[in-house]
Amino acid sequence: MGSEKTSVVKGKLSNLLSYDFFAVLPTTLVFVVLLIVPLITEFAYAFSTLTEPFSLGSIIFVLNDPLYLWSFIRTVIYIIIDISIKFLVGLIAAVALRQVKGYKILWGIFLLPYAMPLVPALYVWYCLYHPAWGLINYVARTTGLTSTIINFLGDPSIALYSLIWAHAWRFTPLWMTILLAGLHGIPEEYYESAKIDGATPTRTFFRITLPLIKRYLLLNATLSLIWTSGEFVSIWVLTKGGPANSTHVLGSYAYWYMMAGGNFHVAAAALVCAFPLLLVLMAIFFRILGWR
Amino acid sequence: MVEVRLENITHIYVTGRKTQTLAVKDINLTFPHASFCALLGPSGCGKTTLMRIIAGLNIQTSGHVYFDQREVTPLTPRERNVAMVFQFPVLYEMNVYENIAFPLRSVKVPESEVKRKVKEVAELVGVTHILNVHPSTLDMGSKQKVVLARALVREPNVFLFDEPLTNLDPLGRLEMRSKIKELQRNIKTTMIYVTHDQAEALTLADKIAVMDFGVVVQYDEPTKLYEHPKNEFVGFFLGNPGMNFIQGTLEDNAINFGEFKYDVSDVVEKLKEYGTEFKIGIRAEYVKVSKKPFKGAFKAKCIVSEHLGTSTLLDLKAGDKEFKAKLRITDVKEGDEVYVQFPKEKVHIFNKAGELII
Repeated sequence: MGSEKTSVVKGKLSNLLSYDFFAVLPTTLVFVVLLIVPLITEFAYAFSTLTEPFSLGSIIFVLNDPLYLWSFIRTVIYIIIDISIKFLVGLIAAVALRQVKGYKILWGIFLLPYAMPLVPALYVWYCLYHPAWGLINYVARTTGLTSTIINFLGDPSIALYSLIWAHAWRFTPLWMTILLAGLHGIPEEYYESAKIDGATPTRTFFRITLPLIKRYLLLNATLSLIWTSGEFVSIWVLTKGGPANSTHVLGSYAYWYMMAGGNFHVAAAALVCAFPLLLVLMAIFFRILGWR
Repeated sequence: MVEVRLENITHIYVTGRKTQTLAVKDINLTFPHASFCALLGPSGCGKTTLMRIIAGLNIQTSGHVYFDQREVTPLTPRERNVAMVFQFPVLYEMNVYENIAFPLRSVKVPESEVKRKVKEVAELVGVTHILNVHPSTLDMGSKQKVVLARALVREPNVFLFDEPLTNLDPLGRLEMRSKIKELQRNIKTTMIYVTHDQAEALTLADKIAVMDFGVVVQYDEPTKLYEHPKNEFVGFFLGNPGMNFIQGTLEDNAINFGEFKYDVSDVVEKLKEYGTEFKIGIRAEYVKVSKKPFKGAFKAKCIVSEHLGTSTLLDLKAGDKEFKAKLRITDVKEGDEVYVQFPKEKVHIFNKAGELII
């Protein structure tokens, strides 16, 4: 009896080593090498300084740095305004396209900003915003809307919002596309049933359509949150954090410390400290949209 | 409680720049008040279009729809006060209670009234225990019941069903079928039921309109449709299996089918007006079959024998003519020689085009 039992155990063990073990090995390796190792490295950098291997110095430094706190706040502002614009414009565009019969051509046109590579797309806005020869200033002046020049990227009070607008412009088509897919997934019967039930178009939209595309909104919001919280490209292409550090966000702050300041530890600490932000915002989104 | 009257309804779908499809053609029908009527026909016969026209979801190309004496063509679905149950359960993203309350809240019924009515219909349909549940967790049958409750809560003039049982499993289908029947008896509202399933139509409806290619072929009570089909299409479409149709030639006083003859000496004068080619129609359950010879019987061979539980379905062949017979008890097996007779009172004679003569 006893020997039989051990042989069963042995059999299992050899099975594990011979097949199961090797089957999951590649996945595990990829997971460890690509995810766990960089993450641990990041934390290791954050919890050390240039001179001390184990120290809270970098963390304390960033938390005491007013520029870091401002970058943090600007990141939150960036995320909220950016997602609001994409949400509103994307939803309106998607709903409008849903009504149009030959929507595919229009959709293709609307998709152009997203089809453009990121840096040239942002450069379009650099040109549009330019105080001397930008189109927006030209139109504003010639139509008599303003007499002064608006320095979109040079005025610290509006530079951040100019950035956000350019960024939202680039990514709204993605929202629109995903929401449009969601809208097209709603069977016609829902609208007919609502009509028979006597719901007005407004009520139909808010009580029936919107709840049915909730999961698409949540998907968009989550992706935007992840991408935008580390936003760097739009800042670096358009303002490099200026003027007067007024457009630094977490991503550009960390990049600046790493590349210009040569301090990996502060850069890592800046991002590690921002981790909770992501989690809290994500929890809020999930709460609002009621993930099911 | 209204009588629905359709007058010369024609509907054309514009399907492309130059193409259009005639969906229903010059239809005249009256659905008496508090009756349960079915629109029965194969896919694409225009039955759903007709229902959508009654609902007001489509506006007919020409013709009139009346609810009692009132023409409702310019009215919206809501103004017509119709309720509709679709093929798949359309439930909104809110819990069952809110789903049922939705039509009432759409017209701003006071909340206390909403509560009372929802409770009332929930009990009637049997969904009281799931009022606080989100529909996504329900099975198809329960979902369709909630839809039924939502339709009922408004006390509609006309109840429309668009193949509501198609997406249910067989058990749910039976349950739902009896639920609908029970409701019809209790609430006495005009109900119109679209289906392609003849069993559903035969069991549920007081009157059935059989449709084909956009026209109503026959509109009658189920038993009359079953026993006296107006043409070959109705005969074959209704019943399981459909009516047998056998084609033969009129010779002297009988229709000759090659291997056997059917005596028509009493009506031969009338038949002569219609030419020489005829079809006789007989339901499978009326075909007399025996293993022993009997008076007036002809010989046939059993090709297939299927046991259906309470009865047996035989595929018989005499010469090149094939037909089916449905028997209660039989020991006929495949390959057996049998004797067959068509009882005179159950046989209908159709012309070559399939229109009923006698």
